[in-house]
Parts: sequence; C-alpha cells; structure tokens
Amino acid sequence: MWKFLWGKILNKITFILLFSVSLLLKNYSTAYCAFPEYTSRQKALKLAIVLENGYFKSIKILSVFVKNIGQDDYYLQALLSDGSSRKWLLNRIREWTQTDEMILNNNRALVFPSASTTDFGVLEKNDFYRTALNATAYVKTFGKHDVLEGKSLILGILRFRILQENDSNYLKTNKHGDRYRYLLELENGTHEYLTYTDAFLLMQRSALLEEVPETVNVLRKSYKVEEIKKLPLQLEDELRDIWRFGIEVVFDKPVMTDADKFPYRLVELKKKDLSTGRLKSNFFLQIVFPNAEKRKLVKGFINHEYLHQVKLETDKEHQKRVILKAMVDPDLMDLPPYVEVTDRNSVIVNYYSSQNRSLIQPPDLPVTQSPTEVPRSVFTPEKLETEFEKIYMQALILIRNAQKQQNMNLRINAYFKALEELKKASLSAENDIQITQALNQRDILLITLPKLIIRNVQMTILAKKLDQQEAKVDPELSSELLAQLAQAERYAFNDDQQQKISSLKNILR
Amino acid sequence: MIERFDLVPDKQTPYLTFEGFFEPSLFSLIQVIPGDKKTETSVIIPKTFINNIFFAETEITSFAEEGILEKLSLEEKIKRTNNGEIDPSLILNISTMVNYKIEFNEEKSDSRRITFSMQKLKKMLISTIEKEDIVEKEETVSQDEADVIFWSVFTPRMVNKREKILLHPVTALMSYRQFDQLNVAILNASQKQNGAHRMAEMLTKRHKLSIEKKIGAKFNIVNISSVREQEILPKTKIYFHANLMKQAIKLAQVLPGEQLLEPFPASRLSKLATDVEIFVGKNFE
Repeated sequence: MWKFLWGKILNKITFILLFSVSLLLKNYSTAYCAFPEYTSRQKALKLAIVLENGYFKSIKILSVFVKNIGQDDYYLQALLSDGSSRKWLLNRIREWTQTDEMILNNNRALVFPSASTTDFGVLEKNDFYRTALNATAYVKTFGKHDVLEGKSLILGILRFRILQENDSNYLKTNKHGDRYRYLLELENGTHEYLTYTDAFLLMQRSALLEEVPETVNVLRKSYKVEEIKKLPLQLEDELRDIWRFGIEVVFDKPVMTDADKFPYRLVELKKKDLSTGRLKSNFFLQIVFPNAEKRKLVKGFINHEYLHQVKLETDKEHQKRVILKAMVDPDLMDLPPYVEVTDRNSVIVNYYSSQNRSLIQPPDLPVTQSPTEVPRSVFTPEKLETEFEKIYMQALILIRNAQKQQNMNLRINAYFKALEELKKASLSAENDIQITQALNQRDILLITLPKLIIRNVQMTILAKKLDQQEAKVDPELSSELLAQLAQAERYAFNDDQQQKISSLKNILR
Repeated sequence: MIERFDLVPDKQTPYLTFEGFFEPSLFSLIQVIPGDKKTETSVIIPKTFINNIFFAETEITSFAEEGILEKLSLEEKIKRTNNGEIDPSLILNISTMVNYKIEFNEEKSDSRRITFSMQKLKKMLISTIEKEDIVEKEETVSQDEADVIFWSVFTPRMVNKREKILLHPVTALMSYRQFDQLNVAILNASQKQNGAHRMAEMLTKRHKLSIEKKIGAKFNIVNISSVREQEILPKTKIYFHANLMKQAIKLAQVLPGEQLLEPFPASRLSKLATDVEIFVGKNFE
C-alpha cells in the first residue's frame, strides 16, 4: 500500500514538474518574440493623436494622453466616453487593432508593420480601395528568406475583393497575428491575401499600378512547361578544362523574365546509410521558376552527367512555381549553374564540370598567410571602372570570344591579342590581386598555346595533304604558322613539344 | 583594456574603432545584440576593462562627426567566477542617429584595436520619428527621377559587359582571387536563446580544424548575433557569395541537421567582410 501511495505521489510530482517546465518554456518563447510594451516619447505623442476619436470595444475614445514610467518608456492613458480611464501599453494596442477591438475614425486602420518595434502607420482604407480598383498591375516583391528575396515581378490584376464570410481565409491571420482582409486575384491564377499591414506597405511601395509603360512586361499568364531536354557535354573553356552541359526547360510561350529571376539553391537531405548506420548527406540542386506551372507530365531523366534523378516538380509551398530538381555530387560540382533565357520559348540551365582539380584546389595554408585586407575580386565594388578593369575586361572578352571561335588559326591569333591585353593590364594594375590575376591568366594561356599551335600546324599540313596531294603550304600561311611555332617554342614546357615544333618547322620550310 | 575610440565617417559604412590592448583569440566571443529600437545596439566584449585614465567619461553624447552617433556609453561588468577568478566584460551601448546594422569587423581588428562596421539600413517609410523625417526629406529625389529609378527595375535589361563577366561562373573564376580565409557570420533564427552562440562554440571547439582542412582556408567567425525581426527559420540556412559555393557545401556537411544553401540575394549583398552567413534554424540541436 505504501508502495502504491508513493507511486501516486511521484506521479503527481512528475506531472507538476512537466507542467511547470512547459509553462516556463511557453512564457520564454512568448517573451522572446514579445512586442514592446513601451515606446519613445515622439511615437507615443503621434499615436495618441491618431487614436483620438476612434473606438475601443465600441466605446468612443475621447482623449489620449502620454505617460511614462522611465526616461524613455512611454505609454498611453485614454479617457473613454463611458467615463473610464484606461492605461494602454503598446503591445495591447497592437493586439486590439489586430482583433478589431480598436478602430480608428474616418475609415482608417492602425498598423504595426514590424513585430519587434513600435513603428506604426495609418492605412487610409478609402485611398487604398481607390488605388486597388484602378490598378491594372501588381508589383510582387519577394520577402526575406525567399529564394527570390528582393526580386520583383509585375503581375496583371484580375480582380480586387474584400474578404467575406464565404472566403476560406476570412478571419484567418498570418504568422504575425494580422487578419487577412483583402484578396487580389491575379491574371496568372495566383491569389494574394492581404492584411491591413500588407495593404499599407503596398501603398508605401506604390506596388499597385494604374498604368505601366510599354517597355515593361506585365506577366498576365503563367509559363506552362512543355518539356525538358538534355544539352550534351561540350567544352566551355579549353584553358582550364571546364566542360558545360545543360538542361533546357521549354515553355509554351516566349519567356519575358530576366534570367536572374530563376535562382538556384542547394537542399541538403540526410539519410541513414544502411551499411554504416550513419547519416549521409545528399545534396539536391534546385532551379526555381516563378510564374510557371506544370500541367502535364514532363519526363525527367535518371542521369545527366553529374545530375541524378532530374525532374521538374511543382513547388508545394508557393503558387505558380516549378522547380527543376536534381541530386548532385558536391565533389563534382565545382562551379554554380548559370541560367540563360533563349529566344525559343525556353530557359537553359548550364552546369559546369572540370577534371582540373586546381580550379578548386584550396590554397596551401601555411604559405598563404596574407595581410588581412585583400580585395576579393579584381573588380572594384563600386561601379567606377579603373584603367586596369577596362583592359582586363577586354582581355577576358577576347579570351571568351576566342573559345567560341571554330577556326583554330583565328582562335590562336585572338589568344595572342589577349596576351597583349593582359600585359597592358599588368602594367596598369594598382594592387597585388590585380597583377596576380593578370599574370595568372597569362600563364594559363601560355601553357595552352604551344599545344594549340602544334595541333593547328599539324591539322593544316594534314588538310593540305588531303586536298592537294602535296605537302606544300602557301607561303603566306606558312610564314604565319612559322611565327606561331616560334612563339610556341618559347613557351613549350617539355621536350616532346620542342621536338614536335622543330619537326613541324622543318616540314613548313 | 580599452583606451580610446574613433569614429571613421563614411556615407554608407562608417566604422567605430576602439583602441587599446585586446586578445584576438577572444574575438569570436564578442556579442552584438540589437536593441529594442533599430537605432540601438549593445556590444559585449569579454575580458575587457576600461582604462579610466584615457576614458574618463563613460557616456559620450558629442562626437566629432555629426549625424552618425547619438550616444555611446560604456559599462564595465566585473564578475567573480566559481573558482574565484575575476571575469571582466565591457558593455557598449550604441545609439545611432538613423538605423545602422552594427557588425564586428574582424578584418579591421587586431591586438591593438577592435572595429565595428556600421552599415546604413534602408529606412522604414512609416517612420514616426521627427528627426528621421528630416533626413528623409533631404534624401528625396524629383518625381521624374524617381519614376525612372522605379521603372528601370522592371524594364528588361541589357546586361552590361561588367555584369556579364561578374555573373558568369567561368569569367568570375578569372576575376576572383583564391581566398585564404572564410569570414562567417552566425545569426540566431531559431526560437532558442543562444542558438548562434552554441553553433559558434560547436564550430570553433569541435570542427574548426576539420573545416579548415576541408575548405583549405582559415575559418573566422566574425559576427554572432540574433535576427532583429521575427525571422524564425525551420531549417538552418547558409548564404554564400556565388564564388564560395563549394566552401558553403563543405560547411553544410559539417553542421548537424539538414541545411538550405542559397547565394546571397543581390539586394542583401553588402560591402561587409562576410563571405558566408549562417542563419541558425529551429532544426539545430
């Protein structure tokens, strides 16, 4: 019996302990996100003026005074028409405005846009209605921590509505506790539910547009995905041995959105490895397409180079978004993907790979103790172009254009021009990183050029042999090739190359 | 030991520098805590005293450079630990004229000075403070100019040469130097207190060497703080500069739980010295 009683007592103690811990945790979590109770003098004075002649729980507010408990902590004291006097802390005022227990006069609404500061605003509802009813387009700006953060799309407005009882979000609140009040139905089929705060911020941002200039594309329909296609592996940069492959996402209409509105992200998923029992990370590379939808079956691929399980999925969290997903081996993906919009109703996602480990080879720690303040890029953060930047940029453009050149002879000549530009850039460099980068590019070119020149001369001689059944090359071309070989000879880095060069020279002579 | 301070003016990012004698190994323990108001920030510097000879006044309200700081107060907290040792710390309470994001700048700090960068934040349009109203008026542009700026964001852009080079991964590779240190900011976006501190402690105490080996660079935690607004994230998020994707992935592999990795949004790319920002989410245990 004693045992039984002790058991009961212990059970009670455990329950009380658990209850107090959960209560503590609850209080703690609310305290962490708590809205301030007091505000500054200026804000309190302005708020008092705003609240006067409004209604608190259907009782008219006659006058509002400002009071303080410390040097910087102000609150309000209100006199109501029922003769009562009330002490109003800021957090309570916010709660009452959220539940419509506190209403301003003249069809206005009090809003607190930030959940942690007492900054407030007044929404002139009549002005908002007029603006919303006249608006033809809505500037949707994506919020913080969205993969599209800070980017905007202009969407066509179909209809503006005030939420009523039969609406699914009627009287529902967002994560800050603000009630949804309005609905913007957009032409692309998405719905924007708005609180008073949202409406206020839209007015502040001028996000509801009556007229849109012709140069601006208003998205009236969503892009429907037709298919996804593999783009084969091809050489992107022969100097660094970088290869490119891609996936083309084909839509039903021309894509009028800039490529930077199709961002990428990596999602890590951990799964238990059955053989070791340990958690193993899998990384999924996602390219996000806003204002897009998948209405029919779009076949994916099991593999495409280092991408596995490539598929196009509808984003379940956001309206009219599709995601191109693929599992990637992070050790093989050295460079981020690059998105291009084509003029054939599609978007190409380029992926890069390289066998050249020095691309991502970490610097040797002990010898790279550099001074602390070293710029990260050769380009200055400001948009002012320095002399070095202009010349270095020109060199980069020459190199990139040369890489696209099919004619080997022209390509080699373009590389020579780039070398000259890199020399000029080195001479105009203003800091160590600039000169180091220019010299690095020069060295990379000089390593590749002898190989290219040897191949070019060999191919030219072979082509002549096949065409004319004789080894004679015309004198002009011959002297040009000899000049190239002379350059190659200077920078050939092994005996094999030297031998090849001298034998080719003999043939040409 | 803190001896004097200096305010280095700049239109966008002024610096607040404190001179004296500091222990660089304790830099990762410096805490930057946003105050109730956006113009208020507190900074806790561990193991630091005030040199009363140089710093006679611990509350400063007049500054050589006007329009940046409103008030700077210094408070010394000396505690005795359980084993009888003295544990001093210094609390800096910084009030600014307008909204600044204050961050510890390790690159500009060493054993003789510590530096905080003050990045100007975009003002809320609904500001109710008269002083800010004045500043706002000064920054107003003409309607025509405002229209051009407004619509330029939405007009299909001819990407200029410079942007093309900086954005393309291959040309970017030719423009960025190989880095030798990774500057990381850790921000608490979980509901638990000290989330950022716990992660920083875990990374520095348990994983620093393995991270440095993996990424081949020095791993520096330059800022630990909490997010200002209600930005609780379900999953830990790692923001990285596009040229540091590989390093961000290696960091994610070390962190417990599952992470989300995204390049810094262009709108948030700052000139500050942070390469990677970790927002500690609810899933961090």
